[in-house]
Amino acid sequence: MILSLVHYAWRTMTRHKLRSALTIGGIATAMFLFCFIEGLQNGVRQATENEATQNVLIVYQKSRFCPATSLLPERYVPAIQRIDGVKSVVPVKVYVNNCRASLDTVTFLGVPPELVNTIKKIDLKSGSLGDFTGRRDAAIVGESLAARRGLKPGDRFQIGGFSVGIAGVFKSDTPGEDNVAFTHLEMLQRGKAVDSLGYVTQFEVAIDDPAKADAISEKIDEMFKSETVQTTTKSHKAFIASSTGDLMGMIRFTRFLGLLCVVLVLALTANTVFVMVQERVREHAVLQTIGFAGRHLFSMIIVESLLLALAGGIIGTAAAAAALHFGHFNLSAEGVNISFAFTPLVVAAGMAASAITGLLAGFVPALQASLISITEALRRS
Amino acid sequence: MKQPLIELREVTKSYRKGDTTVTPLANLNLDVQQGDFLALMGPSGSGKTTLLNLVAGVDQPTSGSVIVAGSDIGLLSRSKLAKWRAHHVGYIFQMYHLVPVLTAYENVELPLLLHSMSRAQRRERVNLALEAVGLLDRHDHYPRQLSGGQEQRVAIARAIVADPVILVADEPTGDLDAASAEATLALLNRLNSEMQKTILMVTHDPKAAAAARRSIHLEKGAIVDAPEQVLVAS
Repeated sequence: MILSLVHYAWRTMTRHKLRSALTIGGIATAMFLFCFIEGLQNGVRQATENEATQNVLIVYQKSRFCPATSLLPERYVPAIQRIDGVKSVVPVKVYVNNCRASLDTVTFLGVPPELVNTIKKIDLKSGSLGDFTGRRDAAIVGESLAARRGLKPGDRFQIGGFSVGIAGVFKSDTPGEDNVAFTHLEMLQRGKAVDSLGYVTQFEVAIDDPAKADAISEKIDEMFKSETVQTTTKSHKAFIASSTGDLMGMIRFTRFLGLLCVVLVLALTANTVFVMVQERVREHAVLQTIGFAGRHLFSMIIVESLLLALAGGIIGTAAAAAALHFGHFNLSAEGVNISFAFTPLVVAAGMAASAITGLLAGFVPALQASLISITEALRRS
Repeated sequence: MKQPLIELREVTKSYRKGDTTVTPLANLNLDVQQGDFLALMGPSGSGKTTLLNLVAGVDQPTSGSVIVAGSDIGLLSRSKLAKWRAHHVGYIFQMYHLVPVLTAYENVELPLLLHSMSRAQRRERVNLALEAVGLLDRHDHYPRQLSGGQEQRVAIARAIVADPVILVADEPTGDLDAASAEATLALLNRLNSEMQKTILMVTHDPKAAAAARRSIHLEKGAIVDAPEQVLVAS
């Protein structure tokens, strides 16, 4: 019976091909936007809730919020290293090619080459780590950045005043991380007109227990309180939240836009289903005469509504998946990268939104069709 | 005397139309035996279609009882009445009312979707019904690819496919040319005589009425002439 209803509903959709196509196109467009926004929000979630960074602290220069202005002396490293609970300290020099909002920001993270595996376990897809450590102008780039800029090992790549040779391409499961390039710390320190040798943007401090994060942070900041360059230490999550604060405000606004997309789908589907039902009052009366009950008509119209919404939802979600996969979009704020993360969760959200709107849109017309009297319907038509 | 298949007792049907109450049938009594072929005649507004709809379980009386095949269908709920229709009645409309996006086969199959049957069982029944109306070779045609007469034969196949005891036909030849009308009436006659279907047919056409075993005339909601077997309105 259910299969027959789906078959019947499908045939009904093909009755007015252009109208159905326009409706599905409208739903697909709205669902494309919805999934795009969901992908961005998912990226933010993954960046802030990444389990791997729960035991990482970021030390920044106090009252500085931009990679260009935070200048921490490298000599702080041994002192931090001695604090109980600290596993490793990696000095990082951050260089961002674009301080404005952009979907194509490139971030260089200058690190001592021998410590690159400490800051992140490098999973190379191509190239070699030996080439990276052996050459001062070498870089290993994340696969999203490599895909966006068409880079492969052996290529040269120029950003701002820096020219690097690609030694390898690495993979990361964390959205955003595969949009950066690791370079030699010294190259970034010497590369600009003002020599910043001995100074870095931040320290990445790995600790043995996330529960000690607050205590160790306090200890670090206390340690350099009387120095000319003071520090502010935060957990990785808090650091990302503060660095991307303005961006987050924008992203919260996009959630509102995502909800509007769902409302748009609802209105569009409801309008089409309503017109479809009005046109077929007589046909529904005939079906009731044959023996179809109100609940059969109700189910039939709900299935039609669901098919319309799901068809649009599938097309829109697939289009968003393709756009995000091939676009490799990346947002950056103060050196922190946030990628659009198109995961099964986003697909599920897109499909759920389509299904729910399909159900809601079909509900009232389906109820009307199921309750109308046969003689009244035959008389009206 | 044998129990009638259809018994209408003191049936009144009225409904509101704006500020006025319309009563298309008043205190009507009628018995129809199994295997009968009854033509209902009368001017427009005389209550013919209302009577047909009451017998078919498409409408319910305001008062009185409509007993068909032992069930007082006036007492059934909406959903039970729908189930009853699926098992007992085949309805033939003047304008055929086939579903335009379904093939002849699929249109005929529709009533069987409400019965517990396998696909193979359904196929057998649909093919038998289409064969009975002489359209098995057109099973994959859509209504737009059929003539009016062929569409009506498909509609008749749809009405008989679930093997109902009663066929009701609302001016089944009203939209057909003379040849198609004659073929449709011959088909109804065959269904009555060979398959023992009890048929109630509304018609304005005396020729069509002549094809029935007997006919009754309604005027202003009452039976105005009564052949022997019919109880006249009180």
